[in-house]
Amino acid sequence: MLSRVANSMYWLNRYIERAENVARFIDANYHMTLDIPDIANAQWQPLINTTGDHELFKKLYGEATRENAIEFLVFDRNNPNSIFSCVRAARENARSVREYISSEMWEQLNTFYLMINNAAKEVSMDLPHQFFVDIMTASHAFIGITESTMNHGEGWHFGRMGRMLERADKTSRLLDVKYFILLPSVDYIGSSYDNILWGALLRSASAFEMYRKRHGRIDPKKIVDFLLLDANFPRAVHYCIVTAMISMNNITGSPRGAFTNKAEQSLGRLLSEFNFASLDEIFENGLHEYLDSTQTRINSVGAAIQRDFFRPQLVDSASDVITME
Amino acid sequence: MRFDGYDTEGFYDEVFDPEGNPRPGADLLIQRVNDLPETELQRRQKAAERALLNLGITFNVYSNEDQTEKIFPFDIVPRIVQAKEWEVIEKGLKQRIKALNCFIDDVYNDQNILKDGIVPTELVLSADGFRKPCIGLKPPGGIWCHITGTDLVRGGDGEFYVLEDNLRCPSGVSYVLENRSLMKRTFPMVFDACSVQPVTDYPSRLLEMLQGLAPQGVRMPSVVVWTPGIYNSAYFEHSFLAQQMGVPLVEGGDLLVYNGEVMMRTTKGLEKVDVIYRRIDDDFMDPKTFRADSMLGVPGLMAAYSSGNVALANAPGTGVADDKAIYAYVPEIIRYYLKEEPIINNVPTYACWRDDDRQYVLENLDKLVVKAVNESGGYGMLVGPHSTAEEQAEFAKRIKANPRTYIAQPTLALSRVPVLVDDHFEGRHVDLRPYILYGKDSIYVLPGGLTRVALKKGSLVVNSSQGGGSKDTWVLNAEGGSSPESTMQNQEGL
Amino acid sequence: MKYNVTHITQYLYSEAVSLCRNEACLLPRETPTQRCLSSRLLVEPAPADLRERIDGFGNRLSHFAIQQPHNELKVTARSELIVTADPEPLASANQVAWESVRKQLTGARASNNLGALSFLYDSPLIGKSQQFSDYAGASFPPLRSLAEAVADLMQRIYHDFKYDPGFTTVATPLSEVMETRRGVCQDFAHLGVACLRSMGLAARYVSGYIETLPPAGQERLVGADASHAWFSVYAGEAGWIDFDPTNNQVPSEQHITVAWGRDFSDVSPLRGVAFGGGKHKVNVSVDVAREPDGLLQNQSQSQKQTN
Repeated sequence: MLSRVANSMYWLNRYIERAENVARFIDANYHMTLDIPDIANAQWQPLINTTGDHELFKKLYGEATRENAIEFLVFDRNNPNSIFSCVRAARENARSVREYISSEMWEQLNTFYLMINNAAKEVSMDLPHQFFVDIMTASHAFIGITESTMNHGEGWHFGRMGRMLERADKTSRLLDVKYFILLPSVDYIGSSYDNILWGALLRSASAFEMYRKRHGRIDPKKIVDFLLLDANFPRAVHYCIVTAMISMNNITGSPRGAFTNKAEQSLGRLLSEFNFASLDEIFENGLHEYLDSTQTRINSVGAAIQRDFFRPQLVDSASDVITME
Repeated sequence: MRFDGYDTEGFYDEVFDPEGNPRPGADLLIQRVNDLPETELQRRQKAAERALLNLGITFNVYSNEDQTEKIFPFDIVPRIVQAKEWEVIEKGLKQRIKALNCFIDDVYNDQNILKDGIVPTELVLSADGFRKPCIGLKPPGGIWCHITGTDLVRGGDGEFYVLEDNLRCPSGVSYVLENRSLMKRTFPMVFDACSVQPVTDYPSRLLEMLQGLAPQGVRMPSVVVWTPGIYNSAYFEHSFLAQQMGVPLVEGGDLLVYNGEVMMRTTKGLEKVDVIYRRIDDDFMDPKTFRADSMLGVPGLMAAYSSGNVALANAPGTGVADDKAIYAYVPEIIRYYLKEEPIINNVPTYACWRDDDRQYVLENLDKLVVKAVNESGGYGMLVGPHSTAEEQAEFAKRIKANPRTYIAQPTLALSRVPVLVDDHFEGRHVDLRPYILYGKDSIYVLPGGLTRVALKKGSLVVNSSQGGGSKDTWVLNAEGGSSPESTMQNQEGL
Repeated sequence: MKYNVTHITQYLYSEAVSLCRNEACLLPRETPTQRCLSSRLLVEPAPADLRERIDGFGNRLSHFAIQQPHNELKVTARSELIVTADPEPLASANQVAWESVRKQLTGARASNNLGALSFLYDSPLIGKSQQFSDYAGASFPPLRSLAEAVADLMQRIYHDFKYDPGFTTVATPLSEVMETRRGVCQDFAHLGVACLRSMGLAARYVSGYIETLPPAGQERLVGADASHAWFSVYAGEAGWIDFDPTNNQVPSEQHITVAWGRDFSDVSPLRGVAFGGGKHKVNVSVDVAREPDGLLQNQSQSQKQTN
């Protein structure tokens, strides 16, 4: 298929996933601050850090408060990763490939966009919990509609691959930041305070109930295991990479375990790493290092995908064109 | 809602004769409409409009903030054309396109028609659409205008006239196809009983024609539709046709010229393109040859085209023949190349660069429609009978200053078709744009085409950009013929 | 006069260019007074394809594409030519009144002069206007010979306008040149063409070179070491006559013609599109070297000395 179309399918899905994750982070965070009002404000900065956009935030707003954090993360057009910017970008991408997606998909995206656009116009910053639920629902609806109305061909696989890589990235970020906020509270192990914080982390990944089912009591190490290495939980990093690989293989036509280009090769290597990882080793060498390296590797897979599929052959870096006279 | 009391008001009406009786072929339709329960017709009209909106058959440009998409207004009363009448129109259109094609080929090569003094050289060489890089080119089969739309009108005398040729990127055929599918759902039984010539095979004929243009020896020609992008007002049609033909829809950035051939960027690497159905203006196609600032174009495309490595439909440079100034000479052009008399006539035209004509025009501005040769869409036009003295004086000034750029035509009493207005029918003026495919083996004229209707009462302007709408056009089969486009499988009444 | 001409155009890029496509108009054409013995275009790095074709005006155009990354593009055109001057270039044009040439280009007989008609109408960079016919009018009194009239126009342009390199660019409109009375050879050539067309005559823009070496006793001619431009007027049966307003001369043996067109846009030496490149710099160098006259090379023979 046309590189440009594959590019759009990949990115439109990544952006929707991104928007959903931001909504989830904020919602979970918000609930936590309601439960523990003392540390209310202190929790908004870490949230900004999770997104990786702290530099930009500092430039635009300075110190984090509930109001400006939400503004930045939800509506700010100057923030390319705000929910509004993500959904708008997703819609733009969808618009340019309308002939490839089903009309239901387009309508859903359109509705999603209108919902955020309208909310942006409302003056009140007091966003009810419902708003974030609506965002997550809209995203889930989109995924569901895509699953059931679009041909599971190359375009669909590019979309899923994008979404999985985005999800893996966001989950690992979440772990990275939140884990180390929570770590100092080693004094509070087992206290209800501690449980609330861990519970909030799990909720940020929509993992609370599933975790409980699988592991029972709150245990930091087990939480890491669940969110990072579990192969069945759809939001776990490992699961995401497995699924991304399946889509990649579908796109290139390579059998499992083989590769035809650099993107497939680097994703395959990353998958192997996760297939054979052990929790103890991870903690021995440092969780933060492991998570950091995972994000770096996900990023290089993304860059390789860009090179191998979206800009084949000639023009690699610059897309500037100069006219000579 | 019934047709009783419908008044043709002295205009030639496509559906009713001056006595108020349905014209042959229209009686079934009239009867059906008259038999519908009260408000049923309006209900079907609204349903059709909703369907259009849902299908996204829009033509307007998206703005950054809004989501206003307007549909091209549609009226469910079809325009009906008799089989015999259509036969003549078809012959006339084929004749005309053959002659125009010869003209374009001649103008860019031997220029015999200029040497023989049939058409003034100045008009051709300084025509807006004349493209110097096309001099000396020989496209496959000698065909330059593969896809054209010719605007026809019927005057008060009941005769058809050609209003304008569109030889560059004529649009609107997607509305024809969608209108037809709407009509089949709106009036399934009448449609079936009327035996209408099909239009739904247009996309496959288009594809066949395009594939036939591929360079020699290519077995599975790769065809693409080239669009300027989503902000173009006809984008819907580009993507619709690409989808119906099952070929990729590409933008300039998806293509590049490599080793003299045109390639498409795909996820599996570069793939060769053999034929491009280009819906992009000449000037923007190749920054190396035409406008250097065009971000939409593909550098080197003309070089690949002139080497014969890629076919372009329509060929660049065809605009030289749909210049309104050249229009005035088309009857001569037909006689010169085909040695035949034109089957369909031009609207009588006065060319302001001819002294006698100019004199006449200046003396009769209040009776004529004056058009600038380079404008389209109904702008830059004086409609004499509807104009003020100031407007006429202004135009007189312009004509004297720049006679080369104006032509004038008498106002025609354009024919009308009934249109649904609230709870009754009123007549509105219409024109007709059939589409013509000129392939290596044959010329195909789409039976019917787009009937554009001026929705404003008394208005003669039918363009979509100025408040026009459309209708389906039913060209009936000759007596005894039946339509392959039967709706018997398609019984959903609305 | 035999000449060796070398015209080098060099583009230097701050970032690599991944792909470029160009159209060059650098190979001289044959004319009644000029014979091209040899001409070659050398492109570095080597292009993936290099094709030559003749355009609608008979000019030689070269198309090439470079499909590998490069930071520098160098295009060298080398030609060997023999230019013979017409001793009396204006002779036949002196016999004909300018209005009669104008008349030949209109009306029924115009199609006899088809080749000239392309140069009568407005072109991309030149539009006729009252401004030009007002200015040119003084040179065209009734019944004056065409040669005299155009020579007069050429002289007035030479005197009224100041040669000022750096004042105008390729994009400066002609109206600005008229206002400020400054420009370079390209502007003066365009001006001449605009004036002539506004008077109803057909005129071409000619691109080429001019020899650097000043003939003994004469002033150095402006336009040396660069491409030069002048204009040409259609004189009916007498054909096309060239006039160089920058130097106030009728070109003879020192002018080398490369191409002609309606205006600069038809004959730009090198134009194209490059992907990437970042910031770029252009260096152009032109060398027009006269080859020593064949006659003077041979010494007179003398008897062999014996003893």
